[in-house]
Amino acid sequence: MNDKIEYDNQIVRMFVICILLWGVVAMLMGIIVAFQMIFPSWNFHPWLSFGRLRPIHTNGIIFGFTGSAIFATIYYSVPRLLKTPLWSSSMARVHFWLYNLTIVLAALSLMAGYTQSKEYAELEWPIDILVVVWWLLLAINFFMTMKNRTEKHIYVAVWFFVATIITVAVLYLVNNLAIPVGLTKSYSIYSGVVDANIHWWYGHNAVAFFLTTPLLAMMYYYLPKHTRLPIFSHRISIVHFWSLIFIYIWAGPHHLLYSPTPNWLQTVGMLFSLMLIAPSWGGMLNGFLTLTQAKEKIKTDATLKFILVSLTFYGMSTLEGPIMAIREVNSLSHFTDWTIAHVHAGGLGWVHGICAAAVYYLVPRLWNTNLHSEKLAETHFWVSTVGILLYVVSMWVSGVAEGLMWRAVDASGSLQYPSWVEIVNELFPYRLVRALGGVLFLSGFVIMVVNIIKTTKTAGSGFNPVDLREGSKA
Amino acid sequence: MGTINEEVKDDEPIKDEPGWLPGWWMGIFYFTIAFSLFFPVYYHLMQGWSQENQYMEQVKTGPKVEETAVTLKADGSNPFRGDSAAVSEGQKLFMMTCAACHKPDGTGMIGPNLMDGEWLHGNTDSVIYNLVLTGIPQEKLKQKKSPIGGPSSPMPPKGGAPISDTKVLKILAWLSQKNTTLLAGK
Repeated sequence: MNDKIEYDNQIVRMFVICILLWGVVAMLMGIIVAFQMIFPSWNFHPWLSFGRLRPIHTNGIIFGFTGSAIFATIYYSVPRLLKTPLWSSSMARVHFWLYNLTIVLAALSLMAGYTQSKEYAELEWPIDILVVVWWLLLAINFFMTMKNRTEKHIYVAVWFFVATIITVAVLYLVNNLAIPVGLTKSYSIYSGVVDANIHWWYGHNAVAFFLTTPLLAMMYYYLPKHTRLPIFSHRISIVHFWSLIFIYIWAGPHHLLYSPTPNWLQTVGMLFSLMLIAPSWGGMLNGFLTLTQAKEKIKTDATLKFILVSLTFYGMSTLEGPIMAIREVNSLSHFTDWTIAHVHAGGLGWVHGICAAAVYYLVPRLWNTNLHSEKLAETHFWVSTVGILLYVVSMWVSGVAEGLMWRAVDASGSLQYPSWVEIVNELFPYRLVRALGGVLFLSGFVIMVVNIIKTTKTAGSGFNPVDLREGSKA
Repeated sequence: MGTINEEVKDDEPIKDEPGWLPGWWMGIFYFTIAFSLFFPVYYHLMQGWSQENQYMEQVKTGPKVEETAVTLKADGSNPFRGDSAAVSEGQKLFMMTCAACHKPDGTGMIGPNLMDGEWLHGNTDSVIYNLVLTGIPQEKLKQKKSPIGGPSSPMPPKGGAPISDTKVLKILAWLSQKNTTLLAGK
């Protein structure tokens, strides 16, 4: 009955190219700021200074790199899962171009120094409005496609995309409400503690609904598709989906422990973070238990390796996060490099792992050819994994050392390390290793880009998927 | 682009096994929920914990420094000159309160170089001590340009740090040892 469904592959190809492009740009920004941390003289020009490049790195990774991967997956998987063509291909194209315009304007305006000074929401109001416009285009297209579905069963990946699209819209609109005083300047309508609380409600849920739920959707799509194995437990899916989206939204105040935020609200943030451990682990468990059905193939398949390591980092970060949200731990870890270690375990490990799996899954199918080199994909995996470990371990050590040095007092009760510069000097070697880990990681990513470019050179030569089921011939 | 002949296979539905819920996993979930119900009652209502109370407690039980207030000698010189304990404490205090503008080695950055023989306002203990206590407002600035270039900035009283007058003397004791052109007396 659905032999003749026309799927729009062109829009997916366009977004896949964006994954690679914005990935390289945003990771390069990360490496530049990592070196500026240890060699301050590398701040050559105000436009290229640390304070301006850092938000380009964070926005570029979250909205440029990860966003492209999310949109590519939505436009590829949702019509297929619901067995209906995309509702509007032209609307998806308008989304694509407005989205890329946003990324370019974001980079230029941040370099020029225009910012709302809210972390992960730095973009000024005209760009915010642009984001809302294309997010609505995506939402309309998504829900109309869902309305037209011919497949009655709505698969778990689609639930996670629904949660993403609705919640990000609410978060983004509420947090960015501001009164403009010109094209490039505005004032938030909130002030003081309310502003901080709204901001971290948004900030934490950017992690939840832009870097977790859509990535879980991707895991739930690519893992069973790639292995042709069933998802281990539908029950886990149900329990962890509803508990995850319900609990995540309350955890924001854990960014404001020991601050003027009311004590009870801090405790709410801390406790909802602890209650997040099991819901987060549900996704990891379902992934791991599905993977165990194909464990022999992990040895030979780089895509599965990425998913395995990705799930491992996801499980680790979602345990580390709640621990860091405990007041006593947070008083040591807050503002230190430990936080940087935490986000990069999640970012480099979990987000990039799933996105890399997405690219390796999609490109051969979209360009109808086989991957240029499985060996290069394997190299990408090992190089980036070593890069992640260097990065995360050095930042853990640096963060704990930093926190301990800040709080160390001598017998008279005065600070043992009163000079900030002294502490910065002490952390130099760890931060150097971090920067080198970053270089290694980007090298891995470039290997993937080269592999993909070579793959597209043989487009149309026919794609033969590898059967990864246990006992099948490879 | 070639035609995709994988299409029909590609939208095969993904199978969901009913599976089961691992007990230890549900156990963690129930435990964290139960803990979260118990904790605020115990911690906030029964123990009366608040960050304000915790701070007051730390202030009460933390290490105390008994400091006898000291001022300049009658001849205007710094009583801590040559007092090695005071000098080493002074160096620490300099790092904490002065180094941000005067550089950790005191050779100047935003504020002037304190290690050379040039003194813009005078080179005695008494003059420098009073200068640090009052700070240097814009209209009394004698420095034309900061050592790293750029306009010179006013200095807030005690560099804006909440330290006692006695501690200022300890910093100056360290400075007088490093820079012998700072003289004792009025």
